[in-house]
Amino acid sequence: MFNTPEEIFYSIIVGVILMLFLAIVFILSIVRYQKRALIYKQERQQLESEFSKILLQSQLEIQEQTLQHISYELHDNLGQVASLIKIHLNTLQLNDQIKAEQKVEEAKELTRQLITDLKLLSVSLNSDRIVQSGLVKGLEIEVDRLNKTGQFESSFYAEGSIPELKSDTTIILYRMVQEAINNAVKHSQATHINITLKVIENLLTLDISDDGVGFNIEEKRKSRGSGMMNLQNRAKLIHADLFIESSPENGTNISIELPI
Amino acid sequence: MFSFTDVIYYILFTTALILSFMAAKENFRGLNYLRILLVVGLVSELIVDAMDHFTEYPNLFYYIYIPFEFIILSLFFKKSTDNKLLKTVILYSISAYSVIVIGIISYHSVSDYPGIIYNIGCTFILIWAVTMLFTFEVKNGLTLIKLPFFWICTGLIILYSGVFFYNSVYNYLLEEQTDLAKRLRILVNLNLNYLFYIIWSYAFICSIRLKKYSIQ
Repeated sequence: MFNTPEEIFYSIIVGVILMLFLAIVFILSIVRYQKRALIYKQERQQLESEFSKILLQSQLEIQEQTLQHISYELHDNLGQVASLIKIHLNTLQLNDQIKAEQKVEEAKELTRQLITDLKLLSVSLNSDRIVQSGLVKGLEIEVDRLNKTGQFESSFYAEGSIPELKSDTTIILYRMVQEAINNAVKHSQATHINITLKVIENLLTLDISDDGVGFNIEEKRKSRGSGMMNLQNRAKLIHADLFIESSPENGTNISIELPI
Repeated sequence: MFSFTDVIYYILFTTALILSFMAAKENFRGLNYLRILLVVGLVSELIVDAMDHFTEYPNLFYYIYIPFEFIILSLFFKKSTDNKLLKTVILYSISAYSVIVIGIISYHSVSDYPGIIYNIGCTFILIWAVTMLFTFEVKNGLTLIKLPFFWICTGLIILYSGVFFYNSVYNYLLEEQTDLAKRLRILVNLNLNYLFYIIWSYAFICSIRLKKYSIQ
């Protein structure tokens, strides 16, 4: 094959150079691979940090909303009922026994209402109780509370076997419904609010619809309304999809789809 | 006694050895194994050179040194990885290699250069070095090329991949074409060793630099 020592010499040198070339290419590809892995790791860390930021922001917003909710309930509902009890007791005329008994009965009824409202408020605020009683029970209580205001006719309908969700997911879903209801109560001028929870195969769908004045989604999106942003951020947190359908004078339908 | 090329070789070898003792243990897992390897390696080279002048079997000492080198490098890799499976495989490879070496020595003349033993070791070390580089996790925002471990593996991959090809025919050439074998030894083996000790020296410099930065 090789006739002279020179041929052998150059063949071996070429072979060694080829091996070295392959080794260097290999090392360079490892460096490239590690560089990519590092970039991927950094991007992942950045995403995780952004996710934590969103989570923290959402938690702060939830706290703020909870405080607003307590303030609203104390001022507009519980405070009013307590004032009515006080008025009844102040105007109590003991010399007129029939009227006095009537007023005491009314005061008793108002106190009962006050205690029930306090219980409902306590349940709606306590995340642990929502986790313990489950999403369905929590939503039933929320609808009851809404109906008691007398301003809305609301309903809740659950379809399919609702699985036990993670506690974080349950709380976030529950708070999303509260947010949607709050938005409807504050801005929609609706008379009917309906909530539907259904599970079909591996998809949990939660619909909150109202017959209010609706809104222009594009305008809201451009103005980055905090209500919509909150819902979107929370949907992201539990890896759910959020769909909002609305147009002026045609009500609003908010749909949350959570793969389970 | 020593040629000019040998002097350069020993200068580079000694430089790498000194730098290894200046390198920082904190950023260099298994550094002690490399220090032991370099000390024993230098002593071995001197012994082999002496045997070359005074005995008929200068390659005899390589039958001790090459398996020792393989075991130390394997232990270095074992120390450098957190992967339990890889640690176990490396340990088994040491046992397997030892059995192969004993088998070869039993059926082979020890007067020849132990090319087969060296090449089997080369194959294992190349596999460990490449696997380690792929699985190595770069931490603390550093890049791979700033890490001493990367340069240690690079040095080993370059040396062993070059020497592997040349070693396969070295014994044959030594018998059939002695002059050619000697020319190739100087050109391939010695130059690759120069490159190897320069790369390892740089690895130890990287470790010293990392130590300085971490102190600041």
